[in-house]
Amino acid sequence: MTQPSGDREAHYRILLVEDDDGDALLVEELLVDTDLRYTLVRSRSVAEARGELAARPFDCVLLDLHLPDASGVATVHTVQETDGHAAVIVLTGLVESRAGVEALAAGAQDYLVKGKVEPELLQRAVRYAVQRKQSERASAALQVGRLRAQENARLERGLLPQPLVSSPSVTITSRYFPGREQALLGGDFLDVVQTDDGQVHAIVGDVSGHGADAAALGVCLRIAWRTAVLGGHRDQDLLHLLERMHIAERSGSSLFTTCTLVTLDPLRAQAVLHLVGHHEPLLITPSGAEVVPAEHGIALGIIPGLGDWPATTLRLPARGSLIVYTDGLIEGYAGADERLGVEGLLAIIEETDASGPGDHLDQLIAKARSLNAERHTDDLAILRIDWNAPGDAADGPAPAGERRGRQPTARSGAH
Amino acid sequence: MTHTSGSAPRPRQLSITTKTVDAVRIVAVAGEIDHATCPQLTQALLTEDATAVPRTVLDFSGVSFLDSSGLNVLIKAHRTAAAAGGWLRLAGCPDAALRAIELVGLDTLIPCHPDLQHALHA
Repeated sequence: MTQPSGDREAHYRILLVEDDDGDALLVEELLVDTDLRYTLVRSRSVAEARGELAARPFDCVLLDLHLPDASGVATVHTVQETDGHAAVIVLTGLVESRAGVEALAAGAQDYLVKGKVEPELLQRAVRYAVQRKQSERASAALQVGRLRAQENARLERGLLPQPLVSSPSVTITSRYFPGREQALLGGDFLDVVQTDDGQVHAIVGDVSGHGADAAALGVCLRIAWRTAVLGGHRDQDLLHLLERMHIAERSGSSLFTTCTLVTLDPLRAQAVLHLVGHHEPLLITPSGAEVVPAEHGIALGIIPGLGDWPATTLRLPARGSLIVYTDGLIEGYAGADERLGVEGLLAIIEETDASGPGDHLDQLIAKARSLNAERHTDDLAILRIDWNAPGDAADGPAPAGERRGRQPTARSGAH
Repeated sequence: MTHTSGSAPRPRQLSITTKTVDAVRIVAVAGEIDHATCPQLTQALLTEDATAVPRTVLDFSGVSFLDSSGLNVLIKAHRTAAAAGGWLRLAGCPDAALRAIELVGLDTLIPCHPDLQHALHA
């Protein structure tokens, strides 16, 4: 429908579906006597009408219920299946007003009884039917939006749980952003739990697809990981379990999952890393940021059962941070023709002066997104694990990206 | 046959040219393979016409970037070729693309050769 500007009436595109020439002429004459601005196209059958509806948009369909190739409320269903945007006004005979009511129940916006229609009534019926249809569509879109928001919230709770960490010497901070063009969350996920032996276990993962299927698989893997870790599974055993879960739950055989597993032992001042098709984390210390050199294993689901995931043991300084992230952080652009990459990320970290871990991550992400100049980004999950050795002075040297003399903020849950 | 993307603002568009030599399809790809451009790669490798010749060498010497979207397409193409009794080989991957392939371990599934000649005669 062409929208009115100022006092001008909207222009209605009307499709009349009527096989009887006399009835069609009557409707045409009634329309001429209205004040409507309209374009009228006539079809003599449902098949013809479907062709017209497929070829161009209409605002309103005036529909006879007795056509050569269809009759009754089935004609309403057929028209709506072909074009759900057009308002439908059913034309009934004098003795079949019940059919009009049935047509309303089937989704028509209004019905008119042939022989009892005046120009003013037809004019009002067309206007109201079109407005009613627009309201219905807006309401449906709003409901879809609400449902989508609810689904997002559910998925986000699944992908980004509250970390189960009780150690006062370890701080967990995380951030998550879905890809900008995705209606639902993508397949990035993370989780952190501390076991009874004091070790802090973390996972950051990335299912290779986008949308609801990838998000659902991400939730499955995160829950499987948490359950397995709390059940005592570690290292190769844990990863084989995750791969079995990945294969059982994935929606397509080309999907794979990359992840990094971290087991941090604050008492021994060491961390064990397993890189599963995933790039290396960053270590941040008072002297700066660096890539942690670590061995790699293949992603889950590439060659099921083949996986051999070597462990890398990292000696930890008395105070520092590990940043584990998915590739959405580094795959955006950093200018006209180059991607940010790890080197670009390290450069951003060098320039960042933050008041705590949360502020630090926010600044990293903001800078990366700014450099990417609002182009499409992949999903992004980022986890920062900060530690102080027991008894370490609170005002000791701060890791890079954090102002000296300021304590890290209280443990932040997933955002 | 050349496909050129006309979508998002890309510094380098993806172009794909295909030819068949001795019953081997050679698909040369140049540009950045990512979320925006991988549908073109899918079309070149996985449509009915594309899978008519099940032995394929992908010449990636012109590929400047490859992300997980592209890796997914490669896995699908490999599985499709294998199911038809053929194979998929990669040739001439620059460092950035090869790093992405090796990082996830895809080189254990799809052979990566230094150049087109090595791939054709492997």
